[in-house]
Amino acid sequence: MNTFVQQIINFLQLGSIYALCALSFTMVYGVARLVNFAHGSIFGVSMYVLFFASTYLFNVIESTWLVYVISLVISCIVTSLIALLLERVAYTPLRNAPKVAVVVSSVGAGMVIEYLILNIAGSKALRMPSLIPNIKFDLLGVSVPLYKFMIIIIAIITMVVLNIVIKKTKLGIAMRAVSQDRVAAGFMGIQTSKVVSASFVFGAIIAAVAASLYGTAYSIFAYDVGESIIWWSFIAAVLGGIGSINGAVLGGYIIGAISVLAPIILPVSSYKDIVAFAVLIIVLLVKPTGLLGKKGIEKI
Amino acid sequence: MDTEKIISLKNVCMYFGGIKAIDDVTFDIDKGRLFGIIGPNGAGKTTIFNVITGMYIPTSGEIYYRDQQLNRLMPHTITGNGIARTFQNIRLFEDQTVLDNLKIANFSHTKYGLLDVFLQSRKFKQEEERIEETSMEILKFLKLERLANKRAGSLPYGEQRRVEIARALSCNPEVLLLDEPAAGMNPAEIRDLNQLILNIRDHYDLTIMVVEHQMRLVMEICEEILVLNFGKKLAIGQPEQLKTNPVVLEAYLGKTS
Repeated sequence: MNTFVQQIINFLQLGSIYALCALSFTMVYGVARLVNFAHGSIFGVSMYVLFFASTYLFNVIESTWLVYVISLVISCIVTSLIALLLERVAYTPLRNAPKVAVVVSSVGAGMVIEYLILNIAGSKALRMPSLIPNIKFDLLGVSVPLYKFMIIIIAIITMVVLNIVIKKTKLGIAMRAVSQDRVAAGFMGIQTSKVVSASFVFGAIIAAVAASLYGTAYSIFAYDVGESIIWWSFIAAVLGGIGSINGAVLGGYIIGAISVLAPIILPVSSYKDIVAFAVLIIVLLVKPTGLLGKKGIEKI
Repeated sequence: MDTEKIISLKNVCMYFGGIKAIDDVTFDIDKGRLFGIIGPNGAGKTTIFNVITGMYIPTSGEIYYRDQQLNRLMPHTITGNGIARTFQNIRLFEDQTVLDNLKIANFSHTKYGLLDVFLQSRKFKQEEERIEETSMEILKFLKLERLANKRAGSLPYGEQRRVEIARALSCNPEVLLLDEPAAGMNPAEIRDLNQLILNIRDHYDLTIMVVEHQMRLVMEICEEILVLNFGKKLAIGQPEQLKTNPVVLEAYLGKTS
């Protein structure tokens, strides 16, 4: 019973982080139809901003919560600005270029950012200060640290807020319109370039939130932290149906479940990657658009 | 009769490489007119719409909406200024409901912020109500209100065309551009459409431009018609004049000896 509860909580924690990462990755694809491989580096940037901001703030402020909120806000702002810069420099000039050019440009931009981090912050692994008070409490006889709960709760709040923004607000409805037919959206009075920029900002903010949760869960990170994250969020997003918001969340939790279950069932823990990719391949063979993805309609 | 000019094209050319899609076309449209553009396939009819609405920047020449030059404006600005359009190959937001399609077009006129949504403020609710009301009004006028909550992509072709007109009306335009509204319709449906276009013009006090293959539609309702052939202006005038114009007859029926 004890291990069962623990594994459920581990699954929810890991799944929530993957879900947020996949969500942040799918935002840009959903609106701009662009696979943004530089997104992992954006994640890396937010880890470092969060690290430096919180390390500094702990000298000045006592409340852990306050430090967390302020450094998260700083990290959101910085990553949003970098995402906007990335869009301006690496994507907007290639708007009419073949898709392959944009993909290569995004991989290149990601490397530039990653090596900038390496040059500025060094290659040494860092330890994120704990951003959530170190309290434990009892759940069904299992002692669970508060941070695990907070990760799940913050992830769910982020997803709910995003859903409200997408479903109810002017910007969200414009995003859905641009995602379905960018040209027609322009003719309906929507400023499509701004909506695309907004999707980059959304992606960056969600990545910053995800980074804060990842940092809380694993604390140790280095300059290449974004690399494996981007692959797993890409896989989760494709599994759920790239561009689909619910799909990204579903994909994230499935990858989370595999990562927790596989080491228990299989003899070697690294087999989890094999299971995850096998699931991905099987899903794509049966449904090439991913679990919740829709067939893209190309019209001119 | 009011003869204020609302749309003017002056020596407009649109070249794609060596292809002259529009070649030195000049014409004016009076406010309140039902203006038709006809011509064989590839004559440059839709390209005229595309340069007016900002999809293409013309190679040369000037386009005016009243006194404002449109040449380098973005599509969303032009729509915001009061020119709305439909598309030859229907481009509805297929996954959205009919009502949401209209709301999207209406959104550029709303005034509330992100905070209003989360606080569910009065401003937000009032604006939402207003948009819903105007959208439903338009749907009622086009007899589409029973489809309001249907997914746009699930409707039959003819209804999708009418939803597109409704969506264009939601942009609150002064000038409405209809790109082949009768494509794929039978004679009875075309008769209904003719009546609908006339009603829309009178009810919303619009200037309407129609690009059409169906001579029947254009000849019956348009007050002035531009005839294009290979991107060139062949003739312009009232339907009666064009029916007997030898140049037009030649382009449509071949050379008479």
